[in-house]
Amino acid sequence: MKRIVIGLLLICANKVIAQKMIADTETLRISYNVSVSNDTTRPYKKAQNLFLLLKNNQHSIFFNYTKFKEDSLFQEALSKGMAEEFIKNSLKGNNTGLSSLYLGYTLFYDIQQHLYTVYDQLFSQKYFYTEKEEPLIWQISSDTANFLGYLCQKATTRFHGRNFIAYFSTEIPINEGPYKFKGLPGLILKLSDEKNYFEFACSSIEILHTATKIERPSQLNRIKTTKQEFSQVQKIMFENPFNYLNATSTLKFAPTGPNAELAQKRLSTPIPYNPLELE
Amino acid sequence: MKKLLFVIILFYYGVHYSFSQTIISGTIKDEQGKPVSSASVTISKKNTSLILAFNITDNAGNYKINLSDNEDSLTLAVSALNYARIEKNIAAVNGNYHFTLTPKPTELKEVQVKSPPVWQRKDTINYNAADFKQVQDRVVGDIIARLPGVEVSPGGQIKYQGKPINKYYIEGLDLLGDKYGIANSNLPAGAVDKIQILENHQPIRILDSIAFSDRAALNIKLKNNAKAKIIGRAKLGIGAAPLLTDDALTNMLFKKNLQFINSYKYNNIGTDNSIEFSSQNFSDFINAMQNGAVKNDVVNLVQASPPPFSPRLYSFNNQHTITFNELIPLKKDFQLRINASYIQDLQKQQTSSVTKFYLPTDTVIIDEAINSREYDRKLQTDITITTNTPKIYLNNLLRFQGSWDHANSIVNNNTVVNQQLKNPYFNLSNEFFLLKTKKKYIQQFKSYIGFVNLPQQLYLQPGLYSTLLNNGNPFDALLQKATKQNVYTNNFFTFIKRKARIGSSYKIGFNVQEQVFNTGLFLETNQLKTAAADSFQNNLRWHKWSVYEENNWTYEGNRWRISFILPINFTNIHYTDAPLNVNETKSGILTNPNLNFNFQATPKLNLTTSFSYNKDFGDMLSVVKGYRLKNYRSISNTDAPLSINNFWSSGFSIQFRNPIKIFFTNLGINYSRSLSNITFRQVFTGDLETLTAYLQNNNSENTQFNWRINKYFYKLKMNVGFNAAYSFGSSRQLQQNTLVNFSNKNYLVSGNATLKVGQKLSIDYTGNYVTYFSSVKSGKTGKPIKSSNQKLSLNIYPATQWIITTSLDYYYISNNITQTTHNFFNDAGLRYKPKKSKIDYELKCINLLNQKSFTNNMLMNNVLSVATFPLRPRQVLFSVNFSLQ
Repeated sequence: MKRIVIGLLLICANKVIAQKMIADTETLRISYNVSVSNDTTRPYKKAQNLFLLLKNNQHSIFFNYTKFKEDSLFQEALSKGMAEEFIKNSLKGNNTGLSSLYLGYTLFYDIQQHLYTVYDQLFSQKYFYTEKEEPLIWQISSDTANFLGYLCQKATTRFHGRNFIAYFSTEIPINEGPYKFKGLPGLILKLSDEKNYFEFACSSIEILHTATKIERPSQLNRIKTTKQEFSQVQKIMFENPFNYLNATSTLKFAPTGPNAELAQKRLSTPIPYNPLELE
Repeated sequence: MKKLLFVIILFYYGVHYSFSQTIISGTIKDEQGKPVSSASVTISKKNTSLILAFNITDNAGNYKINLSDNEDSLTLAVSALNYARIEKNIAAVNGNYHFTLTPKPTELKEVQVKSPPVWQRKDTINYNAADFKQVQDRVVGDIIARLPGVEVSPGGQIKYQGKPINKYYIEGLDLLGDKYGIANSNLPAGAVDKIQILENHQPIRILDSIAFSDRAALNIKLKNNAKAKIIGRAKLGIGAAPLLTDDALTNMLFKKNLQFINSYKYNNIGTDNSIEFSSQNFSDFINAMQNGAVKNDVVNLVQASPPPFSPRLYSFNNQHTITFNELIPLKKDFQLRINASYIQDLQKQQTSSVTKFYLPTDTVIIDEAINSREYDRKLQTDITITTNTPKIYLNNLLRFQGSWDHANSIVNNNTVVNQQLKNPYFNLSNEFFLLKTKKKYIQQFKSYIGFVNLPQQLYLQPGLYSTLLNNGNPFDALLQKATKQNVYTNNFFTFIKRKARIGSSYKIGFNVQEQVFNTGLFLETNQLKTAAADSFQNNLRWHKWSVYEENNWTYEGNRWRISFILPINFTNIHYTDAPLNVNETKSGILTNPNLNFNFQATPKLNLTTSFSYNKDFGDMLSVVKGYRLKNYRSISNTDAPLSINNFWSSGFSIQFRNPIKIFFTNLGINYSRSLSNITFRQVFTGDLETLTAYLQNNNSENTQFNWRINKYFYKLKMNVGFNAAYSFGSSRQLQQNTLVNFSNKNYLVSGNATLKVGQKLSIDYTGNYVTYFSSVKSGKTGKPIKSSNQKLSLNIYPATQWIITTSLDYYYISNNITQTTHNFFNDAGLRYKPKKSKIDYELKCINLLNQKSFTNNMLMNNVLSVATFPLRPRQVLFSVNFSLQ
């Protein structure tokens, strides 16, 4: 009931609807509001980011638009001829800190080969690895709900140790969705796990009529790795950021001063981490 | 409501299950007969859209659906993007259905939620302080350090997403500038309502839409009940032995028309509270250095070299610190800020030291027992007026620094020498900064002007240097007066431009220095002062001006980064000392290029190399012709023209990182050479040294190798690091009329390990081993010093209310003069804060093993010094911290 009411509210209150035709060569741009509880002891504390899903007939890409905007703002500043003094610091460190530690990934998907290339980073270091798509087994339920004016049907699946609930609409006949969730007979407009740690809510669907090529992120200065290796390092970094930083950078962290013990405690404190893929 | 009913009905039908399996399969092709992949094939109950089962076609266009529902008649639908949808009613039996799709653009409702998506909100993140506050927290800084993306460096610098913040606002106002440590470590955690992070904050409004800022600012929003009244913190600490106390009181007010933070702190436990006043901006300091706006005494006391650890173990202090910060918004977008700090400290120190000078003919041994009392009073006042509007940015800072320092010291060195030093320092300066923007570049104008005065003197009893000063006849006392005054100004324009990958900036400016150095040496006999000969007096006048321009280019490629700086200046120096017949002029064009390459060969491998050349003239103190006393056993003069110094430096480093294996290694080589046309002559008469600078080329060289390696062991959860360094160099000095070549060698090996045992215990180990060799071509030298330091620390976090810390330090020093020493230090601490309390308690034990003294060794060229410092005895301190709000 609640879902329906929210769905109805969304239709009535704040939506622009336009009928558009999509041609074969065009690209669909779908945005998702992603909210994640990284600290399971304080699940109400959520990181909010906007992700975009771009899809054409060959590839799709799912990336953090909030982060991309930071990068592109920077590029824009550069091309406008901005004062070096004000931006050279950002060139030195491509460090975007903690928020991108959680949600800094980009998934590039090859539709023909069912192959993901995952681009991610830990502090300033960028990585990439490929991963074969594992087909999801969806249980279709008869529940329906309305999202963004589309009638959606509920489906559930188990994905790397968590149970997810998706709402998809056959009115958008593409088998896509946020993150690695796909393979339903329609676009996923809403997805969350049963504990609501991860929520993906579609906030816009657009057709890009100008030719948009879906490009891979730059592989320059990016280390090629495997999924297994990457998650191992990621785990170390979150559990013991002090050790990770000390072992991989020229900087040395050694707290001194009147509050040294508190600083030491902070550095030794793990960064709360709640990976979407548990297993 | 209708929809809900619909859902219920559908649900009702949906629960009809049967265990029979029906398989429906087929192939989907397009009109050309090519398979259509990624098409959705769905089965629903006849004439409804509710899907019972589905499949997606593979690359060959095949689908296969297992149906377990027991419906009589079904609808099969095929849909794919840009094909017409096909529906077919089928029976619920096994069957093959093949379809051919006809192209048809898919119609789509484009939707967009109007409510602003995340990226359109202003780049401000609000954090509720209550969500992040923990029981242990005392001040706002404790909460800030816990916010996502925020790090606080040991020196107190706050970083957001790895970059230092550019402003620290309280209720939207910048009360403290870059000395935000005062608020961060004093504002009670309980008074804070929200902490806002203003991402991409451009503090200079004129640049708001022009220059992108990658920095963030912090804004502290206070609870309403904390805004209207004066709030604060207090600390009371008491301990033994002797009687120890560590107290603090801070009060503050944050209103719209007035903000202030005032604090008073006192301690005699060896803590230096003046660190709080230190600026987080380093470039200011460099600029001040260049203009003599940093206290650099012209006479001083001989001091033993301090131990290689924190002064809190050996500093016998008695320190008061007061700070006063006030901000008043004025009319018309102007803001007035006054920041003042005052430090008063009485330090008592009793050291004994042995210094050996290995000379070509003999060895001079100086054995000193020093008993000193230093009394320092320092005041700094900054008055800042700022206007920051979208049209103009103007900042004017008027600063007064005063230091009223004096010290008494008794040195026992066969004879007892009583020293009295007065070393005050005054500096008044003004800094003006104006910023304007044009379409394609940014224009800056900066102007510094200042005045420095150092009226200092050193009084010695009995009279020394009698051979040199009084034909060998003894006298009662010796007084060295030395006054240095400096008026300076530096003004420049900068234009900054950037085009895609190439950035350039141009700077033109001029600076002027007018300096006076007056010294007088007086002999005292029977309370009667008589001036020493003319060669012991200076009346030096120094005029220096230069015009300069500096071009700066950088190129950023994908893998390359090259920067080239080419400063060129024309300098003219004229100095006179009429009584000593000095009247010299020197001028010339000086070029100081600097080239830097950085190459990222692969994501894991980075290479850097740099070259620089620097040429400059000596400063005023390098042309002091008359003799002057620097301390009780050193007298010096210059018998040479203005020195010209050349400095070459080059470096290369290679760095390999494999973050996946958590492995890091770095190898660096540095070579530097300097050439000056001045050499020093060192002559000893007994213990007393005379240094004379004279014209002769002097070359010195230094080469350094450094290697670091670091590895994390996954299984042990342990981080292990290792560092090795080797350096060697040579330099020359004329000693007792013999030119001596020194050569130095230095080895260092160090290691560290960090082990984390669960969330409640962490163990840290660092250790190093150093050997220092020095040799002189003539053969005479001190034996190498070997030293080592090992530190083990243990932190335990049993529950949120408690922190337990303990550490053990071990120092080993060996040389050929004194006995090999082994020193152990043990500290322990306990901190407790009850839940929901405004008070917390802390117990600290320092030097538990009650080490009495520490002996430190230093070897520099032919000088070996061994200094013994008494340590603060075992002490226990209990303190209580209150929040006043």
